[in-house]
Amino acid sequence: MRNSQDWGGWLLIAAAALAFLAALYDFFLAWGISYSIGSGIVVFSTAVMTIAALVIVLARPARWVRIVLGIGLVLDFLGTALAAYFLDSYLLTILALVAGLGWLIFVLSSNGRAEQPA
Amino acid sequence: MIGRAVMLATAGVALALASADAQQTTQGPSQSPQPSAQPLDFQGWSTFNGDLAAEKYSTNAQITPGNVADLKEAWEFHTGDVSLGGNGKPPETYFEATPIFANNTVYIGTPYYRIVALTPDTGKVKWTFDPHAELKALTQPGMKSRGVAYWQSANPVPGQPCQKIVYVGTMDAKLFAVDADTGKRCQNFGTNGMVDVNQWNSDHKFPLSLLQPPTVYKNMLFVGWSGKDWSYERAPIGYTLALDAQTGKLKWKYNPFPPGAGQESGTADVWASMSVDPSTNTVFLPVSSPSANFYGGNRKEPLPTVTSVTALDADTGKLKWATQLVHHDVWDFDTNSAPVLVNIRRGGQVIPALVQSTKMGFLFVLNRLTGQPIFPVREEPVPQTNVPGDASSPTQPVPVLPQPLVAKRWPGISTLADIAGFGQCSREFRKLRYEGWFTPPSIQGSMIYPATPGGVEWGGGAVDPERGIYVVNNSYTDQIYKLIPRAEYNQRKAKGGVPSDWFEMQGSPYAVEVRNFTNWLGMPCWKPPYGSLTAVDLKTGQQLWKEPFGEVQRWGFYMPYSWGSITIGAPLVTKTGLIFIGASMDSRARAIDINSGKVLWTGRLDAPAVSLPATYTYNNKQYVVFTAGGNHLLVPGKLSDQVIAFALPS
Repeated sequence: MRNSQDWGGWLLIAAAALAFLAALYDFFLAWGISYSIGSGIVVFSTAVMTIAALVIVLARPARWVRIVLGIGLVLDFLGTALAAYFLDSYLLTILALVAGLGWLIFVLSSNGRAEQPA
Repeated sequence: MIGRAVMLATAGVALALASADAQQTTQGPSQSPQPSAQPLDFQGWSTFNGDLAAEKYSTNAQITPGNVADLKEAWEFHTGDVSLGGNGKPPETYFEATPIFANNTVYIGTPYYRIVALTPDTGKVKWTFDPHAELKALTQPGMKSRGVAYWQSANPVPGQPCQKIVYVGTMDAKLFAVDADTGKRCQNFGTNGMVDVNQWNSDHKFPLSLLQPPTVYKNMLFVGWSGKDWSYERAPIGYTLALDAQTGKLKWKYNPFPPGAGQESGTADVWASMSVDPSTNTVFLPVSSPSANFYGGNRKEPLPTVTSVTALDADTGKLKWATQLVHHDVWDFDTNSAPVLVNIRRGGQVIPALVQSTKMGFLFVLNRLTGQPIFPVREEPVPQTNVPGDASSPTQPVPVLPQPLVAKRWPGISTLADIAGFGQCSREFRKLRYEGWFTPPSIQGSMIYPATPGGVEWGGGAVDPERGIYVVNNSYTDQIYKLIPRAEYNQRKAKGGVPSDWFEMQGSPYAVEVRNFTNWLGMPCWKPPYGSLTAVDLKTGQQLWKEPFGEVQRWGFYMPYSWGSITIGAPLVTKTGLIFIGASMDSRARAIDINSGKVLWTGRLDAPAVSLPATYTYNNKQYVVFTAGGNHLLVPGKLSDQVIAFALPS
């Protein structure tokens, strides 16, 4: 692991991907919420979260894209965690929050490194 | 004046309360009524309500508050009789059966009116009976069944079939009797094992349905029926029938109307279960409202025996007494569950009582020998109708104790629903007539709280006769009732555009719109809670505790537990102080401590358990069984055919 930014990025990607798998499980198999609109919404939101995480961490897009994706991700973490909480899907809630933590580490590390002299 | 005689009679009853109590008490230890012909095993569950007293009480004591958290699924069975309707399939199914445990067998009635006999410890099929019933929703929005009834001969003849019989009714009012050991038709019962109850239907335009299993007592079946509510002004007289348990022959029929009355209205049928006191040979009927349901201009004469709890001599059907619970009912406030019979100990005396829950969320505690209130009931002035042609009762009976489960005034507009609906709830409320409970339907539109879904639904409550505690679940529902002038209705009908929540009340000057008070998202416009579970001390009439019960679930999302849930279904209580109940929107079964109201265990179901659970002991193991069928009123589209038994691990 090279630095804390990578560490944060990979935590974001891993948590988002696991959240997507958990959401799929909820949609198809979980008791009480399978095939519901709510569980469908979190499948969509975690899929978006995973794709956005991959783009922002691995593709290193333009600054404006990073800003748009960053704001979108924040809304995604909070919305997914809240929706999962009301679905009684506590694993998904935790994974969404962990993904948010990864994103926070990624962003803070990125800002710190940018301020270092060349 | 409408209901004046009834009002005065009820007021007099309230004033005479103390002396009536003294006169109608008996000495001795508390004991629940026991059937005399075929003593029921309280370790079993051989009737819809567990026993003839409708106590929903069991002496099974293996499962306790200390070990209930260990309860696990013991077996599961799917009847296969489930439909969501559409695409040429049968109409939606509402599986509301109480599992019956008798004859070392669990008997289930399905919404396709089949009987399934299961082994009690494994849920394996012993036999099935299929009457090949017509699967049309004649009187209901879907195919509905509350299960089967069981009878056994007090003097069985060895080698003869049908000494033990299971009965199932159908949507088109046919009653089938089959041998409890083999599932084969009892040839001596009616014609080829079937009695067509339509033979007692005085108006075949109005279909009858047998959705509630008969109440079995001695060698009799007490049979009520369901009709097509809200559709006609005039309907058949709601006769209750007593049939011979072995032959199906009519022994007596009871007309719920006073002599000469009811010809212009009809119904006041008994569509819910009944209870029986063998010690006085009395059957108690929850008598529903007369027709039309939301307009009473055709029945302005006093009808003190309808929308009542009524006591009949079980052998003759002769009226002993009737206590009216709603005067001149224009809200469809049917008396909708079997009264729970219980002996109340007070000051060294034992008072033979019954508890009748209602759709208004009232609990009437009456002396079951006289029908007179044990706790005070006052006649309260109520809002008067402004609908041309109708006339309200000036007062309605309201129990002082136990305290009504639903408050007199609605809780107000839900801020969340109003914001989400961009003020729709507030705007609509300002257009409606609302003056507290018993606000009558109107042409402008009235808000009714609680509305016809309750209050308390058809499961009623349960009682622990040893502790003297009565437990009941209730909902807080809010609906809009708007009378539509006939000309306006006909105009819309001619254009082919009658909304689905308009009901014709054919023959009446008005049709009626009945709909839930919700915003465009379907969110309730009134504040939570939406459901509670309450325990009442029957010695004092005071509430011991009242807790939100169940969780609202919408689009998969669970709302806060403090909101509670609309409930349909009922609890059972056990000797060890446990309450078992499904009934809520969130498809869970729960065990609750009767002393505190605390949830001690939850079990997962495939759909809401819109039913009464049952418990029994077989091979030294106690089982608690739920049927989880769902209901369109609770969670649209979430229906199931699941029967599931829970037990402690071996």
